[in-house]
Amino acid sequence: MATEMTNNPKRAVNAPPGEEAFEVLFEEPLPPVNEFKRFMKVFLHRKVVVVGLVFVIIILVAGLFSYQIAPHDPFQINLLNNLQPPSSEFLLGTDDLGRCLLSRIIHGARLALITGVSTVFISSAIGSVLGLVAGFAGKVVEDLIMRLTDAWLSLPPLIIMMFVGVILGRGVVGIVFAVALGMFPGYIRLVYGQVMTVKQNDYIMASLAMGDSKMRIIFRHILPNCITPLIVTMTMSLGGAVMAEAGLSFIGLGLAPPSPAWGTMTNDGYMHLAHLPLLSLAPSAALVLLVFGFNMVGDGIRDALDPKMRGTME
Amino acid sequence: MSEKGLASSSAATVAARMENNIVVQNLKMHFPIRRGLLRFKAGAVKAVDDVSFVIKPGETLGLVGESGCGKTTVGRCILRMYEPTSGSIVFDGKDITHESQSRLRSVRRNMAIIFQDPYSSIDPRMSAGSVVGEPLVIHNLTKSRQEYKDKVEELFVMTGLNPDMTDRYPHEFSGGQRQRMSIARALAGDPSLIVCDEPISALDVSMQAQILNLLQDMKERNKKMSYLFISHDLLAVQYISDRVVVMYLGRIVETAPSLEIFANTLHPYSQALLSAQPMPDPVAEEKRQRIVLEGDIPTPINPPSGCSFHPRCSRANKECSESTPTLRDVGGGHYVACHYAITA
Amino acid sequence: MERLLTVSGLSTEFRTERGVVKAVNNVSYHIDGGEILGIVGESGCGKSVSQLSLMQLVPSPPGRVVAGTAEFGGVDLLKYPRKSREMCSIRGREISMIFQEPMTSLNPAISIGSQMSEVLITHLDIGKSEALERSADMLSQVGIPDATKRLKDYPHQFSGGMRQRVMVAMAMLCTPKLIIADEATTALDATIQAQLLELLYKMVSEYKVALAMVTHNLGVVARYAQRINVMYAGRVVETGTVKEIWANPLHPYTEGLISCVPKLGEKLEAIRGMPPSLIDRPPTCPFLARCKYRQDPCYSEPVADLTYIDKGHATACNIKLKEAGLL
Repeated sequence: MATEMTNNPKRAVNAPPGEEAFEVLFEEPLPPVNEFKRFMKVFLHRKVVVVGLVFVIIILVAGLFSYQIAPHDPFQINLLNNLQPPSSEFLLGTDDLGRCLLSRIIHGARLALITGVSTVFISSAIGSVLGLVAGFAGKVVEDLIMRLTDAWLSLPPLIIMMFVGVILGRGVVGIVFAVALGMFPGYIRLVYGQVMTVKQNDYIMASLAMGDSKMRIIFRHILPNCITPLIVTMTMSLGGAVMAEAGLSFIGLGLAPPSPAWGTMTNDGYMHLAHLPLLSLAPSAALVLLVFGFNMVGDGIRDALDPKMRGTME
Repeated sequence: MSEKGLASSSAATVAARMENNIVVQNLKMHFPIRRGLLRFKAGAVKAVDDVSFVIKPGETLGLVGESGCGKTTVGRCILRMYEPTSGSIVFDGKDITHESQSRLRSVRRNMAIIFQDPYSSIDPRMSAGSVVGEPLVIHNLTKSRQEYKDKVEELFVMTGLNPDMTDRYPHEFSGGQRQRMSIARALAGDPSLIVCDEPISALDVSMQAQILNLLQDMKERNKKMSYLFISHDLLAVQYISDRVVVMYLGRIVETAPSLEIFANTLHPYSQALLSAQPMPDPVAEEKRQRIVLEGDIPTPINPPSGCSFHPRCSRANKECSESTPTLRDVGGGHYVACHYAITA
Repeated sequence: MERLLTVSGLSTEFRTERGVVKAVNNVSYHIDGGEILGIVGESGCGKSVSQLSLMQLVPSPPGRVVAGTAEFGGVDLLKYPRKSREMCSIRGREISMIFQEPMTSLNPAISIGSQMSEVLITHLDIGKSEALERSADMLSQVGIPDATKRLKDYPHQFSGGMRQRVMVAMAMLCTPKLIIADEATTALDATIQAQLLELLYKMVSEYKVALAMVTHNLGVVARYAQRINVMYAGRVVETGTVKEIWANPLHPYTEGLISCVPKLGEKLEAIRGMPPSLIDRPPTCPFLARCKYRQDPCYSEPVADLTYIDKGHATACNIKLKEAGLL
């Protein structure tokens, strides 16, 4: 028979001796979906996400290659040249100690990225482990962890961050842990909620009924299905982490001078706002662009990983 | 095979244990309702209340009833997803009523479940092949990588799935195909009992017929395998089952061989259920007498006294609201729990 | 009975990642006043989308009605913009719908009484107290005890079956000319479904309202409908009176549907294969791959439009039409 039949792959199945081999007719499979292509297509669909991605890439490059890109040494003090307006040598001018503002912002990108990324990794690691434990341990442990989480969340995060910041001191480690401790309860709730949702699925019960061990169910079925929202939230909270770090630096609890943290720089330039507004505005602008970029990329990832978006986009 | 017969002499019980695939006796499953800060027990949902039945090897038992009748809970108790409140479950001669979860793991190789929802029952992050081959991995049933691959492909072909699609992900399969995957997964461990929990309810009519036929064909292949077929679709149950159990609010109201129960329905609830099932035949529909029940299905938290069906029953009188009817033998393997069921 | 609704050449498309889905493809049918029309088919066959298209309720984007007319009371429903005053005065007043899931059609934060009286006040220009009175009257007609008291209740205080009764009452409030019941009883338990179908049947026959029953359940249409449309892959493949179709199905798909319902003691004859994709379909018969009667010309000839063979009995099967000398 003609066209439509030849498309259907047929397969002869070996029958026991004495019986005729029978033919099974299968549906023709659709061509496989390239998941990566599909992801990129949805991810890059919204223009605002692309703009955000460009900002993130620019700042990422600046952070990774700050020593190569920066025109000057960001710590080089030259009091004779202080508080210069933008010129051909100092593209954004100099600060009150005569340091090149542009170079300091470029080096600040590295600090912002390091603190932001490590904060998110530490807080999500602590949060996920506790969330998983709460989701799988018995009723008592579950209640204990979740009620403590509620209590922790009822404290203003700024107070926690300031307190921890003061104790751990004004280094990168101190500020990362300070912000991470302010952020981790959110991950507990997220992962716990996700575990609870995934547990409801029939395939978990099916595995249990097959005689699967609890550990294998956790690692083979539950964890992989919790990852997507975790990745989305992590990307989305990068912006928040960078912002919190800058906030702490701004109020003087963050990275100590002379490190070129954007928050510290914004604060330092504050007193010259009237005649040299760039000193304060330029680092803040860098901060705004990075936070915006992270949020947009997070948005894009969320849309691209959302199963509901599958097949609905024009 | 009557309840009394099972419970009375221990010799008979042992015999019943050995020759049946599953023996359920006086099964009760009450879920506590906890209220308030300290979670005091405020009551119980009597999901399953005193249910007894047996399934012989190779037999298909249809379990029929509406939502809240406990049919799903019965299925899950048998698989020991829950620990029964009381009663006993004997599977392949082994009492599994209070077996610990770790000791149950080896027993579970011989049982499987097929769910209603073809989407929720398959892990979206596993390839179709690994979904189907999971029991093989869990119980180490294949010796080599190649043997595993061959076995998975064989299961695919057996259930009418394209073996070229083992590497695809579940979202590329339609509902009917996913249900075939569930069946292939259930068959992988070569179980002696498959609990089919509404396996066709979520599917389209033409897919339903395909899946019913597939289930039948699989039994042709392994004549020792038995099914507990849970459904609200009487036509499907009638087609696939050897015996039928009708449940209402956690209790069995009627049980009989399939042919008998549809030819000679005795319990007023079974009659209403049968009458409510629309028959896809306009000529037969015209002649058919319709019984439309009054009122809603009561909740199993606080079931009506006596016969729990009495508030909706047209034949009910004082006795029905006072004493709970027990299953009585009306001959030919037909049992009915009604004070006034008219016997043939 | 006079012609109430005439749909001709209706086509609705959805734009998706993989291409344009022709969900409804050149569908024509009619409903007479006071008649019960069953629209049967499997999921994705376009039975619901064709009804939503009439009401201009197809989610857009991605959906779009691309062609067709729907004559209702001398006007073409598809000519009105979807949010126009004319369309709004037809929805709920002239044509009302009952959906499968009552919880999504009722507002959980507003009492039943307010929701019902709002319908009346919007469409009939009557006062609040009269509207409430009529709502209570309608509730008691659909078998809800203590109707006046229950007007103050919220949707979650009703059981599933009772909520669907409320939906029937709301659909009947303005005594429309046509009710579209889209799988209205599918989610309910068997005995509750039976109650509701009887109620719906009683209401539409009492008020002489036409009813379009969209369902996948052949049993439901066999019991209540006078005529049925069988839909497959976005097309109506057969239409006729219920008895004629059962006695003499003129399309292999209809025949397959009837025979794949389990019958006692008979080997079940399933339709093999799956419904086709609705993207980039060739012009040949969509049922071809699954058809047991297919002949060689079917592979090359375009599929026929729905053509009447007898009075009131039409099919879109090329083979049957050739046998009747119509193709």
